[in-house]
Amino acid sequence: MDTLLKVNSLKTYFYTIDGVMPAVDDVSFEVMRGETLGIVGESGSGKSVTALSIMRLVPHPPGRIVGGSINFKGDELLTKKEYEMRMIRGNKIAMIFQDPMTSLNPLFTIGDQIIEALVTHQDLSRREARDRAIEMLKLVGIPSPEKRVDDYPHQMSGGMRQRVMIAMGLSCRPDLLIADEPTTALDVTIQAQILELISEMKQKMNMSVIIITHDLGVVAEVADRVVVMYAGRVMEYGSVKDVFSMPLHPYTRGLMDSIPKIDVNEDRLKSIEGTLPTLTEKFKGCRFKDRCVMADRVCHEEEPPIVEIDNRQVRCFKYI
Amino acid sequence: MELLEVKGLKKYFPVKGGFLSKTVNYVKAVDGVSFNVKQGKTLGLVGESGCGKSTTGRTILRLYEPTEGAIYFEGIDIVTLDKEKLRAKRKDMQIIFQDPYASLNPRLTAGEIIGRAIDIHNIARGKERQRRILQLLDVVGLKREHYNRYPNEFSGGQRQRIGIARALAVNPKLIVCDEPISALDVSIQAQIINLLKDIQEQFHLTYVFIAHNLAVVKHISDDVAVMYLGKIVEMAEKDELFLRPQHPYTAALLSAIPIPDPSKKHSRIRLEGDVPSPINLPPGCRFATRCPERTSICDEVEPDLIDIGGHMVACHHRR
Ligand SMILES: Nc1ncnc2c1ncn2[C@@H]1O[C@H](COP(=O)(O)OP(=O)(O)OP(=O)(O)O)[C@@H](O)[C@H]1O
Ligand SMILES: Nc1ncnc2c1ncn2[C@@H]1O[C@H](COP(=O)(O)OP(=O)(O)O)[C@@H](O)[C@H]1O
Ligand code: SF4
Ligand code: SF4
Ligand SMILES: [Mg+2]
Ligand SMILES: [Mg+2]
Repeated sequence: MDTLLKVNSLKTYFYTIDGVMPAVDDVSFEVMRGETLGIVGESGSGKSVTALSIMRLVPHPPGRIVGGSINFKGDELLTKKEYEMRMIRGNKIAMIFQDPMTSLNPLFTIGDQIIEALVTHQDLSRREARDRAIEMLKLVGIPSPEKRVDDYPHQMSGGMRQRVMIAMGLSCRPDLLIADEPTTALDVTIQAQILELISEMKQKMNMSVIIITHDLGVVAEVADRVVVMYAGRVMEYGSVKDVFSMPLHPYTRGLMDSIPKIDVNEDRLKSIEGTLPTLTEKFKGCRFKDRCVMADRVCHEEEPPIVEIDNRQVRCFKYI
Repeated sequence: MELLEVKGLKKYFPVKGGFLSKTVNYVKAVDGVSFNVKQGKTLGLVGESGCGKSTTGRTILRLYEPTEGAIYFEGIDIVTLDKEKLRAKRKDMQIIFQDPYASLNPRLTAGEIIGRAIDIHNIARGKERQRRILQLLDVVGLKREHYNRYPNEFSGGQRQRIGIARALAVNPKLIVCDEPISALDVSIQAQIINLLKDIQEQFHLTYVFIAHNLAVVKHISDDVAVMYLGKIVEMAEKDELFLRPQHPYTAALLSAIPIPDPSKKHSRIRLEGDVPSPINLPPGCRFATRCPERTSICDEVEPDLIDIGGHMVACHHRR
């Protein structure tokens, strides 16, 4: 398998009135062709900003990519001109956003929106694009697509809108699909359909997928490898099989323990006390120290580097 | 003892249309729901978005006027109470909302929010009031210094703690928890669930716990009711329901939960078809459009919720 995307030491900071906020701080990972990578972590840990950085859509100001590299099919994305990025976005790399209602334009029919993307990126006439749009809607399981293609977004249910987003994302047959919490707003039965759809599409098109979620169950079901983020840092990175069968980092372990399990009866849930720290550039020590049950003196003074053990990366002094 | 008995509860919302804004139709958000909750127990209410869980929860407290049905709280039908009597009863029945961001007044400090709840029902004054607020902050795991902070200075989990303290302020007997953790991160969810369990024990509270996460409901409930488009389709003691789900919808719901263990690949019941609109319900079983076991009777006759032995089910093929 060859590498499709290689993110190396990515740093994306926000320059706000309260100071510099290192939202994504030295993040590295790879996505192979045909692979699904999961990114998990609690809200505010930098998952969406990582995705926006890959798309070069970080809001500026206040945000800016201040370091690192993003290599896509052998090309550096961070030095690309805006018009070059426009040819990549939606065409080679497509993104599905957290909230389908805000990313679909309420004033245009869903057909018009898919057709627009196709005409911009592919050498298709409007007629051909309309046919392709209907074909894509059918593919994602929208009933009577030749009628629904003329619907406005508000005429569809949440699950259907998310399918439309996926149809739109896939219409140009991208090499990489980035799905930012694609099912968080959906019900479990609909979520199951959408996840299955993404896996099916991935196989049909030999596409790679980055799926961002805070639901570890979703990662376990669809991803091959997983990045666990916390406060802008990668805390653990490895194959889903390894990480789930033996989480190394105390944060990963805490996350696993705090999920109520459907097949076990437990009287009290284990939980991670406390909340995400307020980050500034001057933050000292391990970013997880205030919530870590294993923290000792060194954790408060220095930050552990990320190290590799058994095909896995982990950022914690216990493994150094 | 039954603290709460709900009988044949209906709540229809009018759909306006046409140029005189006439009522052209109704959303049957809750369409004939009955259940009981015993003192000190928790009934879990699950189902997909829009199936009527929140409407049920709010109507129980008469935050919405019921269209039909009776709500017995400690044996008294609160639907028949006048405003004054209802106000007094409200002290015993509180609600915690889904969205900790929208449910707190941004212009009041945490202490004032709890204080207001105490004042409305005249629970305490002066020094005693102050002592009570501080005690409540402590009960929900907040600190003294949080007293003077505003909601925007708190995280989601902390805001939910304020909401819980506000509900506790009046010594309620029943709390309707409307998806109190859905907006929170996994690690914070566990903190809040543990807190809710602790205070239930400490203050002998009865809960109606609304959620769409079945694992959470299983963890906290004694009995579970599954709703679909305004009706309860299955209801049983929780272990019974999770071990032997009867209704095809419950079975699909259970099989759809992603399991955080990649070594357990489970077989999934695939639901095809779309959820019908609550304005335009099919004549027979409401689940028929998506049901893998549907037969011709399902399209014609609506199945009643009946007891099939320790288990209430509404399905023609589970009799
Ligand atoms: N004030 C209202 N006016 C009109 N329709 C309403 C109103 N409140 C709710 N509804 C409708 O009633 C139905 C049930 O809504 P309800 O909020 O009870 O669902 P829910 O089960 O709590 O969903 P969720 O899981 O999304 O919170 C929905 O179709 C909804 O659109
Ligand atoms: N436009 C913005 N301006 C300032 N800060 C931002 C902006 N977007 C994101 N951030 C901050 O960056 C951090 C990471 O955010 P994000 O990547 O959205 O987290 P998540 O992991 O939930 O997707 C958060 O602290 C967030 O507040
Ligand atoms: S470095 Fe220390 S504080 Fe950080 S996760 Fe490891 S043990 Fe915990
Ligand atoms: S009554 Fe028929 S359609 Fe309804 S749940 Fe039972 S089998 Fe399915
Ligand atoms: Mg996000
Ligand atoms: Mg609700």
